[in-house]
Amino acid sequence: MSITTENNEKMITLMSSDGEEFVVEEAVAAQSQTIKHLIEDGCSTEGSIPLPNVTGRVLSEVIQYCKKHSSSDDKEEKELEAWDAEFVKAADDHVALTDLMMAANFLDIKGLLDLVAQTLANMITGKSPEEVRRMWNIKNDFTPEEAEKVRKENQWAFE
Amino acid sequence: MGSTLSSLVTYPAGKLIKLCQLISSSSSKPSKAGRHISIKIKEEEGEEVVFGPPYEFPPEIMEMIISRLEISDRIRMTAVSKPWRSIAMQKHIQAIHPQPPWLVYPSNSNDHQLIFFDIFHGRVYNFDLPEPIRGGWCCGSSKGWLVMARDNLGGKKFDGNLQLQDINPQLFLFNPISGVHIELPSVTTIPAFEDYLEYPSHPYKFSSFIRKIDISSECASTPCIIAAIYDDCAGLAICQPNDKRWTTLKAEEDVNIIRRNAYIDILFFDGILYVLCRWELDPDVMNPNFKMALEDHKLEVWGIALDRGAEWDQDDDDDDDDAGATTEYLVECNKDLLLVCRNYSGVTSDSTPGLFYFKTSKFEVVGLNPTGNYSLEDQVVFLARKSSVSSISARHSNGMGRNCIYFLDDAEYGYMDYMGHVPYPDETIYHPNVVRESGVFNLDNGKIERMFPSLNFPHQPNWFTPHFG
Repeated sequence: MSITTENNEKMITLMSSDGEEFVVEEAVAAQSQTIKHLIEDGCSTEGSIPLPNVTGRVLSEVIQYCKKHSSSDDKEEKELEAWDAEFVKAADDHVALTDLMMAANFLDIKGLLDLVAQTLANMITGKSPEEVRRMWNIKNDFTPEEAEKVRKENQWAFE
Repeated sequence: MGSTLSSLVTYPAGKLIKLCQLISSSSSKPSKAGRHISIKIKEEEGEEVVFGPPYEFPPEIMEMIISRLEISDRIRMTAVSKPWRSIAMQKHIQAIHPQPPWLVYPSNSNDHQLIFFDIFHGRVYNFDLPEPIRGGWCCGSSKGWLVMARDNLGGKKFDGNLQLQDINPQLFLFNPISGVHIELPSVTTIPAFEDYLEYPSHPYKFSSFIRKIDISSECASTPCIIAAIYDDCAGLAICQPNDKRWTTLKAEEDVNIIRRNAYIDILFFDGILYVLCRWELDPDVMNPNFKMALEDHKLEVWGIALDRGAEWDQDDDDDDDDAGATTEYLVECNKDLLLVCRNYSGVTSDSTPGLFYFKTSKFEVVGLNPTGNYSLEDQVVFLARKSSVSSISARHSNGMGRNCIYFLDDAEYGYMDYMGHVPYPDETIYHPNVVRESGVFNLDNGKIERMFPSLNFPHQPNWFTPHFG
């Protein structure tokens, strides 16, 4: 559904996978290329835009990011950087950040993707393959022989 | 609840059942958070049991993370799982941030290993040298390549009685990450090498014949050109990986036309070979040679002339105490081409009577496109005579070194002066390459911090930016 506020801002409703509804200004939602295209294709006129891949908790974080970045201009780059740093810190761990990154990927929000990808890359820095597997519950699908070969190829990085 | 459970805690196996119950009760309602609940339980004997669904990373997300890693972390990701390996091994996925360089430990001639020090993370990496380069030493680096030299002398110094075939000087390019190594044409194909061997006094390695090698490309299969300044600063030569010989850019008989140390530095920048020359060179002499290079190797060569001659001649007449010297470097910094001037001041030793030497006193940075003052701002610059290393942003160096120049010792000849004399030949005291001329110059306050220890090394240290190849 399309609502217009007193300031004549067009509002749209986003619905998360778990049924939570978020009413946001169109300019904020359009930070997401995916939503922008849905709006352009006329998908927002009939009720709310469903986002089946994003939960309400993650969507509220995404909206927080989009609100900040649609209201700031380029002059406030330093301030925005500091805000971004706080934002990823508040997301608290790599699991929350990974959910956020998946959502940013689905919603196609480049700034948020870059920010979270860098934060996750920083978290991996200095970690062993075992530690990385533990972070994301990744299955070690190498046979012992393959694992040995992979290590031998670049022994220097594993010492 | 999801968030507490998913924080991947290690529990003793005994608590397994209780946790599973917790999960099922909290999962009876579809998880609002929608987060993956994954618990890893480590049994006493170390066998890992994984519960909960693993993250399924779309390849584009893996790529975004991989491209933001430094090379050592990226290599470690190749051992995480097959999907991660397939992304991390893809050479076309370039690193987004410039890789911080490593310090190359000057090795001994009998070493079978190369040792690197990652100064920003405090890590040491050891690489085995492949068979043809064993016993070789590093004498430069550029574009992810190490320039490796090797001879048949097994660490012995050469003297005038040795024949060329006894020495068998070899030069290689070696990428330690990919393991690729390529033998370059022999230095014996440069006519000046024979004269060089007959110098009365240089008891050092043949690689001191090469002042600097720069390489146009990380990849040996694309048109890759190798350029060298040889014989002190007297000549320029180029070759390609499969060439049989070096092509000299200046006929040997032209040496008399210019002063001996004419070529100071070379750098491939934006596909053009820039040559820093000490004096304005006679265009009638230089142009035909540069054109020749263009035809044979499709190479554009630009000279940058420095008119420092007057200053140097004046220094020659000065009293020792006031003496100074300058040397210059071409540096790529944040997609700009820079000229960095290193100033030395003369020092008379307090402890060794009669000993006089030069000590690095400050650096100046000048932009070359356009020409003028240049501020490094958040960039960190790495200098060594034989290494071409791009600057990095202080953001990617653990916050170290903003507006700083990390410089290494460039003295090839120990205390030999620039006329080629060794004033103090007693090598037990005046060993070549005593690494006390390395440190960090801060352009904000003009101070030098000498953070590297003073050690005797048989070769100069180098910087090296590793590259996937």
